[in-house]
Amino acid sequence: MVAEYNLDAANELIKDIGDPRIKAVQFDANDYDSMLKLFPGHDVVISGLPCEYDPAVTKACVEAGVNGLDVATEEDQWSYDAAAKEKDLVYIPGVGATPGITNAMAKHAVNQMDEVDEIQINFAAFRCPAPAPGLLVTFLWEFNPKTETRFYVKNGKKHMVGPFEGLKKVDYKGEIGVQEVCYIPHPETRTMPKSLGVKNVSVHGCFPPQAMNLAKTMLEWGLFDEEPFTYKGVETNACDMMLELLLRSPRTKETPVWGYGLVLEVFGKKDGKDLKIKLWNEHPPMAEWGGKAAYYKNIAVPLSIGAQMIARGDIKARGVLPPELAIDPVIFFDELKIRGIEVFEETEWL
Amino acid sequence: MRIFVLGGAGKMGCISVQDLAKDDRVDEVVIADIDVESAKTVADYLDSPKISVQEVDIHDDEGFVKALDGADACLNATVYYTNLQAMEACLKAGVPYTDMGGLFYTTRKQLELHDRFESAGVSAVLCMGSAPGVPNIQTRYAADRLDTIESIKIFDGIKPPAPDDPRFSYAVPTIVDELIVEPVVFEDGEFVAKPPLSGFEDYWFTQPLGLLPMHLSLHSEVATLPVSFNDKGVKECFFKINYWGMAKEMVEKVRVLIEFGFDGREPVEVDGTSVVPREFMVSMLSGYVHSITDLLAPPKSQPPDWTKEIVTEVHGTKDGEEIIYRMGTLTCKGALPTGVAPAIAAVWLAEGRVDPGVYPPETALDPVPFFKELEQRGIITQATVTKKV
Repeated sequence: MVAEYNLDAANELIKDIGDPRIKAVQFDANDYDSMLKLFPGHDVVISGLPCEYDPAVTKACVEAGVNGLDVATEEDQWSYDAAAKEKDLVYIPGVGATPGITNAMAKHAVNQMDEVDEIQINFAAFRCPAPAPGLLVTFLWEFNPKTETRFYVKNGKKHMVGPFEGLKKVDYKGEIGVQEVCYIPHPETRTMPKSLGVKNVSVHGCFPPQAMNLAKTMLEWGLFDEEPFTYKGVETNACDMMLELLLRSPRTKETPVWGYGLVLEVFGKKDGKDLKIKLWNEHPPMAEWGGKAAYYKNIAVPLSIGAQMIARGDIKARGVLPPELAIDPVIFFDELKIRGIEVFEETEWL
Repeated sequence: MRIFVLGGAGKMGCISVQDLAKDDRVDEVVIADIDVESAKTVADYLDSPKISVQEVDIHDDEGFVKALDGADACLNATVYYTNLQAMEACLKAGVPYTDMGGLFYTTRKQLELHDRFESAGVSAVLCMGSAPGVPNIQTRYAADRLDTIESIKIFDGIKPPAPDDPRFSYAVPTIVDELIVEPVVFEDGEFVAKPPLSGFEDYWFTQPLGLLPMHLSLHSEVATLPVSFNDKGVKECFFKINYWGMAKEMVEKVRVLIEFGFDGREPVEVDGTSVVPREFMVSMLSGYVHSITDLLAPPKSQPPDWTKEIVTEVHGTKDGEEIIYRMGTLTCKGALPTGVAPAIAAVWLAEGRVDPGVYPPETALDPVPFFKELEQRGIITQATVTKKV
């Protein structure tokens, strides 16, 4: 069932796919009661909505007695954990590329160690800045100096950092290649210290160079500023106006390379010896994988796999849980491989 | 003598006002600006009894023409978009006119007003910012001493600011235009458009500038010099600058905004308000300019950190012998000649030293006394002649 505000777009999609099992229903995510009416009777609810809707979807799933998952992680979602357990349900926030595949990668490395010292997550989200309004909001939020969740964890303590701090280079191979990354506010630094008992966790990331330049330019020229000013008689601020103008610019909808690079390095001990397990993903180049879809599939495919694993009973855990506590990485990676996303690992004894 | 400085409260106009106020030939300098507050800041800083402030809106034709009444010359220091409008007002008021440049295409349109100005007995000298302006007169100096001219190569070298200095060196809209509009060069006797930020070459300037990376930019010198010296057989003319006096890193950032559509002139609706992306970008960046008091103050450090040399290399022949004139005008403050050169032109216009009509600098102003006046203000011009031994 495709639940969508824009019913015409949903029907168009169904027509394109041409599978009689798929149906569409008109749905307004701002109407909580409509979720309660719509969700019952389904085995799993997948939310592809912008992250601000995730707490309401989680709440509605628990209230309606339906399992669920989404692609982001909001702190309010954990408050439904006890109620989900009580109802023998599972809801997994963040089952995309990152969070999502990265959490399974981390869990896979952790499973092979006696002690885990540090998890370093690196991503390259190769997409244009504004493929959709929500994704532009996310992009700008990740580099906004006022974003409060940009931190890394060292010795169990949070260290707040600013945008474009912690610069380093990471080789993502393939079309993405070597890119400069910086600290990005991401859910893994919030969930993994607790869920995996790791004292050192960091997430670095990047977008295509042109998009990174845009964010850097906005930062250096104060274009994230939320100080109100009057422009043509209307009170606005630089940040809001930039968002609106970027949304309307056709040039924010294009970028030459689409794809997703993920590289994890996990440091720890096995049998008393220090080791590093490095994991990375590979997927077909965009020319062979649907152009722009080479980016989107990295988020949508794991989301679909997660839903199918829940429906099949591959996921036994109950409650509202991060992916690393719910998803068996081996099954998950096998399913990804079938769909073109391969996860590789390399162990180095230090 | 009363000189009317339109946009006299602006970043370049205020330097003209400062220069005119110090000039013994000038009795009165009117800061004519829509921004009265800034005009008062300039007047207060300069503290000269010659200076007065007048609120002028260039879009109010009648008021503008009336404001010009009694002026002996009008120096237009506003952004070049207003040049044609300002010239029409001067023509109506019968006031001689000068400006700081018309970025090639506007200059060409302005020159078309020649016959009307000539008939009305009104004189106008265009393009008198430091560049265009100084290179035109440098070329004239060389042309007066050559039988033929092969090429005119202009290099505007500015000591680069620190990479993290976000300030624009002059009018933000003009710099944005220079970044996106294709520069025109005169090549093999034809005007040819080239890609923006192309034609890089290193050029050696007088110390403390040294070697700087120069690139093509759209400029008015190229619009007029090959035409003015057509009889000497000019085949090549270009204008090169090093990132418009800004840090390369800052220019790249402006390019980033342009790449994402902020050069767009088509209005878009934002919450019921019509917003032109380019106007919004310019308005957001307009704060990143030197303050008026910085511009009017003497250099803070020695050697000065805003040194600039305007060089014109004229390759030609005299009596069959190949000769290169390298004309170099060195200043300790980048904006100084931009304000001073049009101030000199305004005074000369007021003195009646230019015939009625509309002229580019090279056909209107005598180089030697012009360079002498620049020298009196600490802006030194040197001519280096190279020929075979």
